[in-house]
Amino acid sequence: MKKIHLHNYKEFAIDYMVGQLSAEEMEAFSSFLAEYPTIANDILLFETEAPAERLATKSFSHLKKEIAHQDINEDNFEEYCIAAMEGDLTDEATENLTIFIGDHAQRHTVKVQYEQTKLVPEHTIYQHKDSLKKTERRPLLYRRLITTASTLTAASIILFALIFVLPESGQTPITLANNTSIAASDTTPQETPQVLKAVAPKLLENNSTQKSVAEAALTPTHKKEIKKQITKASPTVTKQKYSTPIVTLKKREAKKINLPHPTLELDNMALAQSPPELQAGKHIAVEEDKNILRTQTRKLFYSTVLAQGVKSINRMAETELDYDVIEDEEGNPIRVIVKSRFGEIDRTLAQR
Amino acid sequence: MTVAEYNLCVEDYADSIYRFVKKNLRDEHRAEDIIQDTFTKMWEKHETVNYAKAKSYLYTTAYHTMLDIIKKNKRLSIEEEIETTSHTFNQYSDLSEVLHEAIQRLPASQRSSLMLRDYEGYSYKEIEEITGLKASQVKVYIYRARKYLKAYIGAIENVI
Repeated sequence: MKKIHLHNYKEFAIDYMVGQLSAEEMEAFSSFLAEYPTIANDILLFETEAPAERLATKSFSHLKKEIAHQDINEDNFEEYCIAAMEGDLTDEATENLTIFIGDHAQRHTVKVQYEQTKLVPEHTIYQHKDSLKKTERRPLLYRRLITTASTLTAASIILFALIFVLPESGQTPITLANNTSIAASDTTPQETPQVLKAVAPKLLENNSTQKSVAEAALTPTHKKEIKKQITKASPTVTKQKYSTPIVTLKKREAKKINLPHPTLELDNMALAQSPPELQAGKHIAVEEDKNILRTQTRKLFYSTVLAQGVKSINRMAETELDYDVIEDEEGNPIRVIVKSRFGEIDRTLAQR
Repeated sequence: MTVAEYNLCVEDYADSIYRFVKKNLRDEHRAEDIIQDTFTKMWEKHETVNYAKAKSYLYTTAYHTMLDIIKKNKRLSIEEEIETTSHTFNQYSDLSEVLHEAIQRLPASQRSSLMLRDYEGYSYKEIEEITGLKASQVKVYIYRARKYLKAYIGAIENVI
């Protein structure tokens, strides 16, 4: 008998569990399990009986042969019942089983008991299917077109809905509903809506002269108010909700740089946020390199967040990038590699 | 697979996989976590997974995740199982409850093989692909499981 060790114990494990090891093999395998308690625990997880109660007398080896040719008897009757349930019997074997059971009540009871072990699936519903589903990502250009079209539509609706009276010229005072005349620049906040009402119709006319006169009549306050009205009328433009959440990339222990809000400060992202080696001055030699690196990093950032399915960059997103700085013998950086989960930029620096 | 096909997989298989995992672990919250994790893993690889193989992929992933959890949480000792059994004979009102209790006492591999066989109708070969066990092993486990369940049911009936 060959020795049992870590590379061949699995061959014996199955036979051990089904009670098909010889006495010599059983002793050897038990010694092996005593030597490796972890493996013994794993095998224990797959057993129903205590090792001492292993059914060594029952064997399934006869099932390896063609079942139809085996005589059914009391010793193998239960296996035949199970095989019938599993659909593993030939027609002839099934008929033989029926004949064997005959009018024998006990055998019939045993067969019924086995049939009762068939599990019936319960009706179970998973309640959070919607959270698992994904949505199609639309192309960026398509999203921008939709946003632009929505903005224009909302602005047109606001302007058409308001009724304004246009002053004759930028110097002509505006006549309000109560027949008082005031200059546009003199309007109080309460009078602003009336001013807008007076000006709006002229803005919509085809006469470009009157339109420009109407626009000139508006102060910055009035223009701000119009913009506010547009925003209010089209909440979907500025307050879109995104079903795809922003995914924060896993933090890396290595050198990292946090990018600020992309729409506010990305243009100002400076090497002040880069690793200390770069800050120490021993870094990118020329301004051009700095700008190129900044632009490339920004491109990488955009591609990173868009690849995550983010529909807009108006929300705060954090991305962490790794910087690997490769130096020459004198300690001058000659190459910078910016890495993120979605790619890397390898930039050879200009030498001083 | 496309996004639409992925969403179809969620609709078609989330319930059955959830039932399979929940029955094995008897822990609703953990089962939900496994479902989330399983579908997340498939989503990450959805471009390479064939839609026709999606169900098998999902079951395989869920099965192996579940098995890791089972191995981490060591099962009750045999002495505790016997003690529990002796106190619960009078609590069963129908066969399904008896079977439910009996299934939980099976080893993980036997329980999973039997559930895949009866709940999903998988063949021995298909269960082999999901669990990594050989088809012959699966057959042995199912036979042993049925013997155990039959003995368990018989014992209950004798007491009642």
